[in-house]
Amino acid sequence: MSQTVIGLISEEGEGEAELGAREAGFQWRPFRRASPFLEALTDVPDGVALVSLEGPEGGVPLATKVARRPDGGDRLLLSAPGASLELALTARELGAGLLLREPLSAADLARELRRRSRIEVGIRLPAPEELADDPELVGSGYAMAQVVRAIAEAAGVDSPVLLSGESGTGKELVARAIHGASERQSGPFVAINCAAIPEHLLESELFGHERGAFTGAVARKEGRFQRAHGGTLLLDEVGDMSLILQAKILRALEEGEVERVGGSGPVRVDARVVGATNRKLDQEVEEEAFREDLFYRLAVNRITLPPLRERLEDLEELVVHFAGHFSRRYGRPVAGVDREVLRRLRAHSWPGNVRELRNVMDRAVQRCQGGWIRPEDLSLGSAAPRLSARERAPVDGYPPTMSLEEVERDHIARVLDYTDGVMADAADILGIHRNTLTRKVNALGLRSEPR
Amino acid sequence: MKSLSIEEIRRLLPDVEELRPLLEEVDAAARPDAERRWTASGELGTVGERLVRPDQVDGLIPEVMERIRERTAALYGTAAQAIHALADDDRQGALDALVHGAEAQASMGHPGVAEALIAAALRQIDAVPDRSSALPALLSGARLARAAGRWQAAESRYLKALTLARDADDVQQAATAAVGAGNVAVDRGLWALARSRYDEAETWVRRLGSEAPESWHLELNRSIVAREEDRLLEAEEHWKRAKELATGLSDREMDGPTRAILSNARGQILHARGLDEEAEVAFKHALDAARHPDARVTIAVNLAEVLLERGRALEAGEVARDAEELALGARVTPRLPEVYRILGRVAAARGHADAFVLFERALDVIRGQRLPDVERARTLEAYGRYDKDRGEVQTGRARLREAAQILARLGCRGAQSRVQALINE
Repeated sequence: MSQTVIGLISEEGEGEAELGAREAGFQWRPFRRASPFLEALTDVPDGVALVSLEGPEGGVPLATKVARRPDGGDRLLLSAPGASLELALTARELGAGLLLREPLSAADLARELRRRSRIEVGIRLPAPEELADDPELVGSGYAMAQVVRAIAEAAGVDSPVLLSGESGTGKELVARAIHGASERQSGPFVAINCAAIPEHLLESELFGHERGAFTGAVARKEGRFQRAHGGTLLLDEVGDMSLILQAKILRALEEGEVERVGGSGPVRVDARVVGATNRKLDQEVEEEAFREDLFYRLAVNRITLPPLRERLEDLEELVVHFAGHFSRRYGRPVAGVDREVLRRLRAHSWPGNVRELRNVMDRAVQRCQGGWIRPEDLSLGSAAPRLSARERAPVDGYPPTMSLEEVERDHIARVLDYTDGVMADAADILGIHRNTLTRKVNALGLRSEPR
Repeated sequence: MKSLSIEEIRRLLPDVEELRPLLEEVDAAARPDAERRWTASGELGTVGERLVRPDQVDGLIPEVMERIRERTAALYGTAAQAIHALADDDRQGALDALVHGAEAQASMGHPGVAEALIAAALRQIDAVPDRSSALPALLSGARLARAAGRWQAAESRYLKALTLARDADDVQQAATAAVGAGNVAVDRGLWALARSRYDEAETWVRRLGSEAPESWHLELNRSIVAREEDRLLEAEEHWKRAKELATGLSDREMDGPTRAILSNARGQILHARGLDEEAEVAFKHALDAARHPDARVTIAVNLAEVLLERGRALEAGEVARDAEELALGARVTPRLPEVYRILGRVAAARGHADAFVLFERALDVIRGQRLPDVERARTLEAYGRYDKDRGEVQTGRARLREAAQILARLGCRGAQSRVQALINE
């Protein structure tokens, strides 16, 4: 029997909702009033509740009632006109995750319902030959569609581009996509990370140097500007550059010339510059930390990349992509992804965005036994670049009367509690091997149910 | 009050000896920049980008001053003891005071002062009637020179000690000197010489008996030479014998450091045999067992190397980052260059166009801490390989040539010919 969508939304949205539900193989049961709507939810325990946050019968209080039921958050699907941060947060707090935009689109609803069906059973990965090799940008949701449109527009002109977005959102991939779709596609794509390179080396990396220009200049070297001649140069983390270098970049952009360190004259370069930053450059301009003239030079075309938490509709696609990618790379067959894994991934806040998800999937594929990625294969905490033990230390400390063994027992118990008993994650946090942790758990008489 | 990066602080302050203890503590106290955690440059971060708050620096000063006071007190104590001994015409006492003083300074992380004290001790040798009493000074001096990568001095001191010990039929010191001379040959990549040195050592070690720790050390060192000469089955046999001897030392289970040394050596043999999965397990066991930060860093770098070769660059990077954290936190910063070399290779494998910054940072650390030239040669070799791999052949060759020159000067013929082959490729 097909599943049911039990809806309480505005009358105008009902037509599209019904179409979307049917398209995804669901039945559609609309309601006008809260009490019969809630009764229907009790009668149909696996039904999906679709509630408009600004709909009849007071959307938010009604959604809260649904969310408070057992599994309520998982059953709840919300819609709202526009996507303010406040509404998105409300949806997250209610456990509903994605917020559908109003006016409702049948395609959006169908996609979300299909995605939820997958979460119920997990995702089975397509056969390796059906997976694309390495598509540059993954995600077919609304936010990525906007980005793809902006890429096409930027590729059609030859002026500089400024990409902004949080760390790990894929700015370099977007820069490559712009290059690949532009008339410069047959030329080189060269990237440089302005934050990674110490200032005394950055100038020579950008503009090149003559042999012997400074200690370590063992041979004449072309700079990245020159290497990008005829193509595209990505200045990643451009906001981290010093004001002195910003002036030199501006000159290169304005005059199409660079000067090698220790060189005797300018060299002509023809490179399209794409700047990328995770900073609020307009604010940095106001604070005089970034040159206004360079900002306006770069910001002729501006593309803002959404954080992963605002494009969770793409999460499953990304998971399939990375699972396939790492399965091929490590030669470890992965048949699918367990539904609990998807739930946990959706519940994570993704401070590191797609870069973090990629790392999580990299580890998960390596740990995966038996073909299906399961919760114990996830390491959401340790997927982050590791922090020092000092940063991980409890802020409240331990009383000075505790023995070392007591501290150890207490700390291991806390970490196991934090990782929901997942031994692999706990071992990662504690910085010890899983077997060592198992030995300690047994020796210290701690009960754990390794998953 | 904003936090400053280590690099900003280093640029601000003059490079004077007196500031070094404080700056070392500042390095250890600094933390990774949380804002860069997920940026593209985050994986390329090094000690230079770590942040420290000015008030943290204030807090470090009393501890640093206390350490300087202790070290200076120990040095002055050594001087006073030696002066008293000389005034009593006790040349042997003066020599002993200088040697003990040198060992104390070395253990407090001041190899330069330790070396100066040893040099002063060695100047006393001729005035001491019993020549064999110079043995502790020579052995201590040899160990210091070896740790500083001054292998010719180390070899010469070990050989002098061996001659004296042989003449005095001092079995213990002769075994130590002969094994030490062999170890220096291993450091220099002179495998045939190492074998002959260990052959001589064997006669002395046998006389000590199989329960002496030197017996399993010698077997393990022979295993290293056999591994380096690609005689892997023989390496395995020596390793097994080393393990049997080490196990026979005690009725109880082997202690952590011994298990760590043996598992690490086992991992290296397995790695050389291409059994990387087993090598990974061995290195992980070694890491579990190791206690000393120095050893843990070495093992972690070995583990990262295997993980990288198995294509698991993400994990390799995490293990190497843990090693960096350990090296900084435990103030074994001379190990940082090897950590940054492996991180550079990891970053290159993960497709970072700017992975070179990690090799540059390794060179900075070597310069800043005045580390042995061999570290510079090793870094230039890794950097040169990287440059060649990314198409900067001319630059890569120039770096490799400099590495080869250093290795030739140090007499490391094995490593020199390896680098020469890379230049000719």
